[in-house]
Amino acid sequence: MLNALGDDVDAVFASLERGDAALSPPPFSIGFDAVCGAVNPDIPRLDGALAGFDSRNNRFVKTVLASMRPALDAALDRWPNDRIGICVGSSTLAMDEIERAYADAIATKQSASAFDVLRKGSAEGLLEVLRRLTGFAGPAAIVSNACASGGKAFASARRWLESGLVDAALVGGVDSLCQLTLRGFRSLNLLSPAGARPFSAERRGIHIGEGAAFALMERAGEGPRLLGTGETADAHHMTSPDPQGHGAAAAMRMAMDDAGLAGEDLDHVNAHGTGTAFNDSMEAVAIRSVLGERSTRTVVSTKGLTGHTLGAAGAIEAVIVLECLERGWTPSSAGAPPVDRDLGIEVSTEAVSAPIRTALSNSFAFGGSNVSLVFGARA
Amino acid sequence: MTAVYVHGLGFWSAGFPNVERFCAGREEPEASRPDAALLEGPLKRRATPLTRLGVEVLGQAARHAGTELSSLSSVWATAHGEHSPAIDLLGMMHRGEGRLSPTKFHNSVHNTPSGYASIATGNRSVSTTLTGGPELVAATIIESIALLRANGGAVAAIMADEPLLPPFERKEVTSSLGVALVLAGERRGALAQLSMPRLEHTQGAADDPRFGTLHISAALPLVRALGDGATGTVPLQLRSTAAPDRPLWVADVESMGGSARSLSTRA
Repeated sequence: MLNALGDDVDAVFASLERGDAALSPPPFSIGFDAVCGAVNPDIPRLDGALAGFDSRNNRFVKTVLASMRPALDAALDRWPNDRIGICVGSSTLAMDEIERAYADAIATKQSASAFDVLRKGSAEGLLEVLRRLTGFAGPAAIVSNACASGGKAFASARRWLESGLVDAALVGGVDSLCQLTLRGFRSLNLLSPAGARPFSAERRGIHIGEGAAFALMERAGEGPRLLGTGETADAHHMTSPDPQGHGAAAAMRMAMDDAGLAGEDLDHVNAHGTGTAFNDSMEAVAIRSVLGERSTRTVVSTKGLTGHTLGAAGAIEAVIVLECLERGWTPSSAGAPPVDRDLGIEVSTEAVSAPIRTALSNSFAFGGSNVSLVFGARA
Repeated sequence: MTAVYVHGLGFWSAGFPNVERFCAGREEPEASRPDAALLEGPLKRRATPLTRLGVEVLGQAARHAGTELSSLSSVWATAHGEHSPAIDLLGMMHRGEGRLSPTKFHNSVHNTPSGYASIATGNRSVSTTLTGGPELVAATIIESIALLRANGGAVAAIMADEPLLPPFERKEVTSSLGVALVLAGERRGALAQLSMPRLEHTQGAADDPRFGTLHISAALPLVRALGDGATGTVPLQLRSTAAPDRPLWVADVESMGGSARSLSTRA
């Protein structure tokens, strides 16, 4: 895992424990005040045969996969490489490279290389990088359901495993900062001037982050488990969530049913929790209706620290949840105090050291796309 | 569930607004814009070219299959995503316009067609949008079959892309292309049985002159087999974009006696 909080899982968890949001200006000139969750600019570039695919997005991929090399090699020892799939979420892909190629082509009236940048900066290039860095040769796709992409990649990969098509799959998500998303969310008046404060009475919107997170999923094994998935559509509006949270609640209920759990069985929620007025209200309605009250359950959003990493968010939060299950520790919901009491949910304002057995992670997106994942501690 | 059956087929490209015309090679020159009749009012006004295209072929395939649109699960696929609004936004940014169009921004995500279709049909079922390169058609069918095996019912697989715009254009791609399949586990009334895609060392599909290296045009051999009522193995990747050292995705199609002609009579 890689995001504004750190370059690997331990560094991210050290930042989660400190509870400090890693806010910074955008890593490019944009002409208005904005804060972001930008990744360390010094991570390695792609070189050698992959030099042509170099982009922020693909550097994130390279860095995270390098940290997973022993697990990837172990999978290649266990299974034929064409029985290992790749299912990764991304929404913006390498849009920053495409923005530069567009500007260069217009300025120089030369479009000779623009298509090549588009191809390598899009899903085609990302998949090629993923294939070459993993050595996995099975089915491969990029899930692109905006901010639900990373979460839905876990649901798709699980289907591939259960259908017997693959024996293992690399799952995850990656997204990187670009002008288009910063300017676009600004046009929707959703950018917070001082960083996201999910579930706070003083919340004013999102700040955009970036990063990547991957996991290796198999049908059986010793690690924490994906117990249930739920995917729905709001069928309501392209950008505004259904205020009654019907689609979100249905996804959560579906995931809980799939996991065979009742609301009182759930120990921890890592909410979508973007910090916008609408999302947090809608999500609170859904959490109340599906999970009910339980005083010892921890409910957090980690987006106050990581920023909203868009297409990577579902994967980053899934990996945070998997690590919380392993570590027996859950973070505080940074930026939440003073918690919005009208939400009617108990948001955790302190980190908690206690074993958890079950956890749910939500991701919701433009287009009304919803996904909930329920994870369980190792058996 | 082991067997998967094709119950409906939708097709649109400039001059060939349905699969019957495409398979017969009978051009309809005035067909220059997909009708997308499922979209009405503000949804239709705001819909992008890609969204109109995807919704059009979804509507055709669901009609052919006689399937209820409000409960259909779906897998959408596009290699280049919502390219038209993205290019408009890039132009606005390049010209230094301070604020982007909020509508064009939310229309620029890859799952825009899926979002519009779900709103238009009141469909709250699972819908996943995939993107990728040369293997996108195979991945779309794999995900659709996996979804069908997991949830049952019927699944629509919708593949759509438009020609790239300057400065990213490719001269060999002269038309948009949209293909939709409705898949189900039910044998009765099916056009054909379709296998899970598999890897084979084989030649890929030849480029169609109008679609060049557009990745989703790798679905055309499957469309022709279904439209002609043919049985055999079809490639799901283009020869021209396949990596020379890697096997290619193929699938088996077994006709159940239907053809493009029977599609129009089922409608």
